[in-house]
Amino acid sequence: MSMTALAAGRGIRRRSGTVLRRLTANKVTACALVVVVALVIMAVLAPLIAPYSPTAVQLAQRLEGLSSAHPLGTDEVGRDILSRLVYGARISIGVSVLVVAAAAVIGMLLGALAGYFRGWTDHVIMRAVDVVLSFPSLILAIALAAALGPSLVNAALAIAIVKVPVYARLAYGETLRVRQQLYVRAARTYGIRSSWIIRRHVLPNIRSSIIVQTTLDLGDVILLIATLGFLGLGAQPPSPEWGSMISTGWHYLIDQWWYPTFTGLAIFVTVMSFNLLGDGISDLLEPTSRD
Amino acid sequence: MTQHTLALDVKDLSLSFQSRTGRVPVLRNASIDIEPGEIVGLVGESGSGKSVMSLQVARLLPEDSAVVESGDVTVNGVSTRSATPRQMTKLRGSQIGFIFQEPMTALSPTMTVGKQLALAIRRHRGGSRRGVREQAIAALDEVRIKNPDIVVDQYPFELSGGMRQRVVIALAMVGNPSLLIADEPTTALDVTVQDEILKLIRQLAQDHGMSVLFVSHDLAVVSNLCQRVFVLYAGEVIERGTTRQIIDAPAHPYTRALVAALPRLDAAADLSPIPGEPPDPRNVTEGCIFAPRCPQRFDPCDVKPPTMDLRGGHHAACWLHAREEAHDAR
Amino acid sequence: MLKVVWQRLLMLVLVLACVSIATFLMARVVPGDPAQVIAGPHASHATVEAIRHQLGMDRPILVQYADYMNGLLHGDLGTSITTRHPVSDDLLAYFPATLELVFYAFVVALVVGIPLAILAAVKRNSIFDYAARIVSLAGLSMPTFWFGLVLILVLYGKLGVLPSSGRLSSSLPPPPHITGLYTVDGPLTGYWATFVDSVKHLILPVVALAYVQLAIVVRQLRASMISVLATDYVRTARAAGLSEWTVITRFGLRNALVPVLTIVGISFGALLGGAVVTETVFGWPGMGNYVVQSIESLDFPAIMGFTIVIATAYVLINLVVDLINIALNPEIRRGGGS
Repeated sequence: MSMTALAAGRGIRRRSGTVLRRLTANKVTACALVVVVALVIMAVLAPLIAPYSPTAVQLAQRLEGLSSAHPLGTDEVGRDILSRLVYGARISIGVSVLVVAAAAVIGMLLGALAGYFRGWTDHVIMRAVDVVLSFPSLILAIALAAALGPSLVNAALAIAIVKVPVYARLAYGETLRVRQQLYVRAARTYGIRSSWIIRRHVLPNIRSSIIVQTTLDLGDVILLIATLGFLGLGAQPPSPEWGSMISTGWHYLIDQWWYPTFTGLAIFVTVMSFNLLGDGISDLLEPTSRD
Repeated sequence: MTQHTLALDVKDLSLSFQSRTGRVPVLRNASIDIEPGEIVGLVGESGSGKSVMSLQVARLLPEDSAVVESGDVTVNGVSTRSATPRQMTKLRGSQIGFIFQEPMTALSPTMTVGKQLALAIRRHRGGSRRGVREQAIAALDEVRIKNPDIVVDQYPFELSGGMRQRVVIALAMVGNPSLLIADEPTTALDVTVQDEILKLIRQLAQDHGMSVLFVSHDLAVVSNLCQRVFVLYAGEVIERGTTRQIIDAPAHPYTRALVAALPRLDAAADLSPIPGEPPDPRNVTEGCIFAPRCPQRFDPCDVKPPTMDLRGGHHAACWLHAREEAHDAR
Repeated sequence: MLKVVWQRLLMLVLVLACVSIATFLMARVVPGDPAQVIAGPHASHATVEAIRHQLGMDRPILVQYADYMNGLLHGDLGTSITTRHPVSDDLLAYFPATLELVFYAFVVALVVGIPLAILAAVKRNSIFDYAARIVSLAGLSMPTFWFGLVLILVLYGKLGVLPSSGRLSSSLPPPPHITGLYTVDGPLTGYWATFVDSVKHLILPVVALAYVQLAIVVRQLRASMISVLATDYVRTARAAGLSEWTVITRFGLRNALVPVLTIVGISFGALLGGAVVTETVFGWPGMGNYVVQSIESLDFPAIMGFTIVIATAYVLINLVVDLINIALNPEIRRGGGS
């Protein structure tokens, strides 16, 4: 039975060599990948790329238009908007990756436990999952963030809580399926420890669908973070978080249109790239899931 | 030759599928003809292009991927190659009836049998809503469904596979077509049900003077039902003749292998025993298409054999018969 | 069939219990102190304590919760700390505005989305298909609040053709209250000017809100249609000579709708969430605006009441979707019947 797992593992590794080539065979996905990589590099190297400090106040230069000194203008206290957007990528991408990773890991474990042990574990976990899924996700995130108090950490926590059930339900279904496989049933019959079976057989088998879901979720989580930021429930000023920047930039919409417009454009382009890349990856790993 | 109109005349049809990497030829210069009232078999392995050929007769292949390179399909004297989509829609159902391999999925799951029949009845027979239900019941009755007045209000999931196939046949018969195309209609069914369906098809053909193109991988079934047989291999018709000729004196080595594989008693045979696999349609070698698998291949096979006329409408594309002719001449 | 209803209703009870407990506890654990907020930053300790007492916040938590639940069962969502009105009254007052916005957005999303998705699926890789894919991708990638702002910038700021905020121009009186929906009450009472004005005010927020839902509908229905159009039964219908229109509507759409409906029900959540953001951007005097203001003033009874109402609405909508799905699916319908 471990032969099966071994073979499966080797299969994944052998595939991954060509994954990049197959992923970039689709031009749109290739473009999205380039943009995503560029955004990640920008986020990591923000101090080197941003022309100014994201928090350097220069009241003399407030709300300036587009110029060579400030390609995207300045905000209400004279901070360079481009620099703030560059640093903002750190927050949006960094936090969303953390949130999705945390939600995926926790959800996967919960779903696997519920699906593997069944019984009351199943009932408790999956009923809780149902409850959370009974809410519109943004409303629940708003309510949780409001209850926890406005801050970036709390917003991230709220979003993670909202996202965990998605992964739990996915892992649950997959675990029920894996559980019926002969090698798992055999392992159980031989009295092999459950923790070992879950680690060696269940988790590796549900990993692929979880990964697909994470790639599809990243864009959504970036949007949620920005939305909470916009509503004042996420990152607080002077943080260069994109949503909270629009929350202030909004007041200058008519006269300094570039301020909220370009900030929103940054969100839009980032989310779209992540979504396109996610579609590409999910097409690759689960070709039947979409057309 | 004859002046009368053929029920189906597929002439030198070459068809390719457009894929991302280029065109993949599926049919190469394939010709089939069916006389009015005749039941004709089209035999071949899966992947031989037999389903593609039958679907193309009704132009049911996705038009953006299936490209007709040359040749034409004529149904009752009407060319389908130059027909507009609207004309094709008119042709389907009224001239060409179609039944498929998989009865389990061939009917819409969210509509009663009667509703699906009613749509076709109103389409082909026009007229008022009144009487449509009666006509639907009569249509079910004609395909020997018991209790048609109950079945008419049932959903496909409530029916067995054999029943569904009968409903599909009833649907195909609504427009009283002159040609029925049956694409492996019994493959998915139990043996006993198979026999009933075959009987039904034969009966309907007789009653309506309808021609049938019966597509199958199963030479045994085909020889039971059909008057003439076409053998398709890798997109080419390699032999054709009366069922007698094909069964008693197969001329092409491929057909010989098929016939040799026939069980002596009436049990379903499979086409597996020929060693090797059909060629990859993307890179077909010059010369005889069967040569790589042929036990009797010899030097001339590097050149594509023309279709040799053996006597009595029996044709085969194989150099062996050129040799025999040569022997005869000597 | 009854089983589905019971399951949903049971879920609703569970949801309500969880919301009330969770929010209730959080309201008392988090650092922000509503009494302090009401009293203002410079109030004396005694004042804060007095307000605390007045709000009943000095009693044991279980007593407070039992009190709250008792009220909840009688339709009492507590009293808003900021407006001093019962939360249920406040929500009821703001409800018609939200309903009007959400309803029209929903209708627009379906009316535009369904044909677009069908066209895209039927004419794959055509200009319609690319348009549909771009439209839905953009909709799923765009922050609703930003889209709203861009609409305001262009159509109000630059072109000046549509108003940017509120339900009516300040010069116009609202129509006499019948349903609370201005687009309904206006014509009913003959307030035609008000009606026209309210329609103008609706356009931008409806477009902004409808877009996400539209994107979801187009994406799901297109995919569903494509797979249904490739099925055997669609081929059978074509082979039987049925017209393309019959094939697409009776065989294609009819069968594609079932999976899509479920998604539409779930995506109604996106609409409700989007409404909060849209109302904020467009100064729309609805429940979303109310809750955002409540958040700023840490008005927990209001936040909690809002969450309960929305969660209930969401569960009920999905119950309706379940029932429609049953009606559309003969296999379940007959299976449950016999």
